[in-house]
Amino acid sequence: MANSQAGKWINLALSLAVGGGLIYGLSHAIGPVPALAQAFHPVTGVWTSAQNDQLLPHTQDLTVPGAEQEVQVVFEKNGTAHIQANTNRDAWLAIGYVQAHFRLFQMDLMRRQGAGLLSEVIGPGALEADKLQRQLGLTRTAEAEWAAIQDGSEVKEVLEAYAEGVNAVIDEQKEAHTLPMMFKILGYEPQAWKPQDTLLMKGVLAQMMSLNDTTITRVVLGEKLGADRVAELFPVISPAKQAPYDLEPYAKHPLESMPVSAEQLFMEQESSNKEASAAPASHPKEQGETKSFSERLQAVPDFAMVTDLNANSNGWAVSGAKTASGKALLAGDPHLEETLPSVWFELQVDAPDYQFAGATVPGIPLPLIGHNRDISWTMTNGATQQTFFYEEKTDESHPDQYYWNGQWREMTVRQEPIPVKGGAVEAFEVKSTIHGAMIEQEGKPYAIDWLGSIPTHGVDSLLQVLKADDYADFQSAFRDWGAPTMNFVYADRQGDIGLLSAGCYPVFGKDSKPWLPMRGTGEDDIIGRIPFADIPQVYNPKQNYVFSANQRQVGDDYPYYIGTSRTFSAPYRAQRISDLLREGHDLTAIDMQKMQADVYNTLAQDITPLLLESLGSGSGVTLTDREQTALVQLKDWDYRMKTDSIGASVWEMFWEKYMEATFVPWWDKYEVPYKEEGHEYLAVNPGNPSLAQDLAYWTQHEPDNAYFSNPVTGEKREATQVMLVAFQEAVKALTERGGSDVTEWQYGKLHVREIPSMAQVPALGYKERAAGGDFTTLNVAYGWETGFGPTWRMVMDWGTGKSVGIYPGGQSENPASPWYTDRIDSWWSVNHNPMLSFEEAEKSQGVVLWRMLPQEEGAR
Amino acid sequence: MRSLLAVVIATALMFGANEWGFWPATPLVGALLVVVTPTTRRAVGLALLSGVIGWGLPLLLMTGDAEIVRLAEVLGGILGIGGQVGTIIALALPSLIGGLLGLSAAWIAGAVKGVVVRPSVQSATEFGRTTLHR
Repeated sequence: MANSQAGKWINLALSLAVGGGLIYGLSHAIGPVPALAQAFHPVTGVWTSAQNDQLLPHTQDLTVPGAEQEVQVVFEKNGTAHIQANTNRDAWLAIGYVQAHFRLFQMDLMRRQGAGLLSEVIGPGALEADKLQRQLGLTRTAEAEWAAIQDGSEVKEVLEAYAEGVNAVIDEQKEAHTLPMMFKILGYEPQAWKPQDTLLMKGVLAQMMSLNDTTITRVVLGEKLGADRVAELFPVISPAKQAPYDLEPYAKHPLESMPVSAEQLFMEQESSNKEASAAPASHPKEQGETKSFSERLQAVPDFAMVTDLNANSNGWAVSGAKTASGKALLAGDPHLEETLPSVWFELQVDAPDYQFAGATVPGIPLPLIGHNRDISWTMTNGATQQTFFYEEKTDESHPDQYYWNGQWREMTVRQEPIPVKGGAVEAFEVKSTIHGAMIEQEGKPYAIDWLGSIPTHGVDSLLQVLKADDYADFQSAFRDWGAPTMNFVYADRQGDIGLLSAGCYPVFGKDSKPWLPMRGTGEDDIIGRIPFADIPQVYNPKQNYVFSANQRQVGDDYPYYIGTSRTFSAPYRAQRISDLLREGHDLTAIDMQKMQADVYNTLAQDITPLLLESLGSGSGVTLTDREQTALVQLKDWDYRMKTDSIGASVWEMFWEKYMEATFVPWWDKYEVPYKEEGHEYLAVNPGNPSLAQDLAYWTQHEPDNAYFSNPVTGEKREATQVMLVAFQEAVKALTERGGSDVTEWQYGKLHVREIPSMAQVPALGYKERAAGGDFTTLNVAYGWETGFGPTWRMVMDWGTGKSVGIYPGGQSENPASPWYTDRIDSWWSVNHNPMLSFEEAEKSQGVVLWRMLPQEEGAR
Repeated sequence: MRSLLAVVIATALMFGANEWGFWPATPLVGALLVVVTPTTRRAVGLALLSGVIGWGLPLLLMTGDAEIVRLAEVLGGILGIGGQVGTIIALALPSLIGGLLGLSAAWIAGAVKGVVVRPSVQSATEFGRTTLHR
């Protein structure tokens, strides 16, 4: 009896422990695992993403709170959305509704990334990225921008109406339990969209384009290699031939004013720049090990960073003198990390004051690249330096203070608690000087002055562009553009073309060296910005074309510092565009598309003949049979990085090994710690724009340059000897990767592209596929396994008034939807889709129509 | 017959509550089965069965206007199990969760009942029910 009673108690204990544990475990999130009972619930869980109306829209009437009148939205078979609204406000609201309907999780993810709130939903893995975001203070910038927008202004209407549209979807999907499945898997619901969130998204894009660590990398390298050597290897202007689009003469007008930093503006606002006599506050230390700026930068998700400065984007325009139609042509293809869903969402809008089509970024209602009825534009990253660092003067007797302009001043401190999924809130404080937040690199503190933190009127500029009908309007729209510096390429209905590298170009004191961390004591502060009239720009040039591929925009005589050879892309793509357009005549939109597909390698064109000469007969070099076969492939090669080309494989591997054979001995000799964990950013990278240009220049013009010698072994070498070593190493590496049969070394077997998911879930990505191109070709593909390249290709033909465009991905973020990947095949084969007008779309086959009705009307 | 009726009613309750997204109904109904079923062991089995059906049926019914299998393939991939196995596991997950919720609650309720209800009463009740069923 006693035993039986004890058994019952044991059973109860067991049932509570195991059964209770199971019920608790299934209904609560544990670490990264969501509450499974909710996430996989058959009616309200992830399965709602499989419902037909979540996969593709169907024709229906929708009641949308906030709509003033009926709005029509037509979806083409490929998902391109066409919005026709009777009021401007309704158009912005409808854009918010449509973008959120198809991309809500993406919008929330990017918003969280910008605000430093990824850890809250992802967990501790995102903590370092969040800390970086808190240091940059994008939320603070967005709030300041919002506060500066006047009541009743058009921008305010745009942002508010857009937010209302997004929130209509959030409310609707919460109520119907149809939020995108990633919310359910991560176990959270999105908060309401605020107008400030759109401004935050703008900040995320600015960060993507203009935040980098090249300056402090230079310091780390300088400590090992020596400052002089770093100056030689990473010059401000490369000795190699450049391809500027804005040629002399250059003017020099009085500087325009700008703040020393964003921090200065905020300090003034908060009146917190106190005298040193004030007692410094006691602040909690950051928990755990402090990560360096570079490590935090590496932790930022790929979708929010441009990891390769050498392969950014292409954009060009051609005037009627060179086209078959006699009217202008414009082409653009921004190169970014390719993701699923894509960073782009294609839209066309007809509203009383706005008629446009193009590529928008979900979270921002305005197209960044596109056209209205009169003008068209595209953009490439200006790549000018917009991230600066200061070495602050501090000492132990002045804790939490820094010396600036003759006085000790208190650092400001922002407490930035970071909620972490499955853990405690991380206490994090951001200390700032007048120049910006204090960061750490290789154990040294610096203040970071990133111009993207300065509040601007970027949305207003984009809005003005939408209304522009000539170059003067277009140019004036960018009068106050800040960061990032962008090369805006322009072509219009009248046949005018132009290129304007809009942005904030800070100017420093005469003795300042902005390419290095500068003195924080005041002498090296920003003293103004390059006047708008002097920034790089060109309008209807004599050559009848304009072009940009992130190259240095101006020649050697430009009277201002704008960046180094490390910040701009090497000129290979720019040179190729220029060559093709210079030689081109009777050009058509098809020619523009062919150019976007171009995989001709100008670097290889310059170097391969020298390689063949140094290894060929008469050189006295003895090659193995396999090396000889590989060399023959190179001889017969047309310099095109095509998937079926063996020569392309040999070249690509040769170049990689040539860079290594030349520079790695120097890195090793001077103990650059590139092999250590967290220091990968110091490695010799085959696409490093400075080093690539150095090597190409020396090979062509200084084959006996001292850098060809091996400082480790003391062997004196010239270019030909290093080329031989590199070639042999390349053949070895190709044998390892592609086998011993040279005829099996087709580039496409070794060089692949994948399109990873934005959520970094491998199963949601697009699998590897053979790809052509490399970092020097117009159709860019950087690295053997690449996920970086053209994210949107557009061509505008003002002869027909028609445009075409394509991006790798699809309009929907739902991985079960046919619109998740449906554009990839067309993109891969460089087949652009026609960008239809509303009327054309309405008449096309298989369209879906949404009638978005005001609440009262819909309720009837 | 009583058991079948209990399963039908329990499944209907779980299914109905699931339509409203009210997942706690499953453990509640599972616990309730202990009260209305003669033996705890049987109640646990019925709760498991009701949970499996109550959670699997909505998914099955959804296949008419949803690409459930396509989504299951995606989910299998997210779970790190590719191919057909991943798809099957993803499809089975709701039923598994429903079954475990029902089973766990019934087990706890039965264990509580075992401790709380006096042995003589419990034996008599179970004896009586057994006799009656014969």
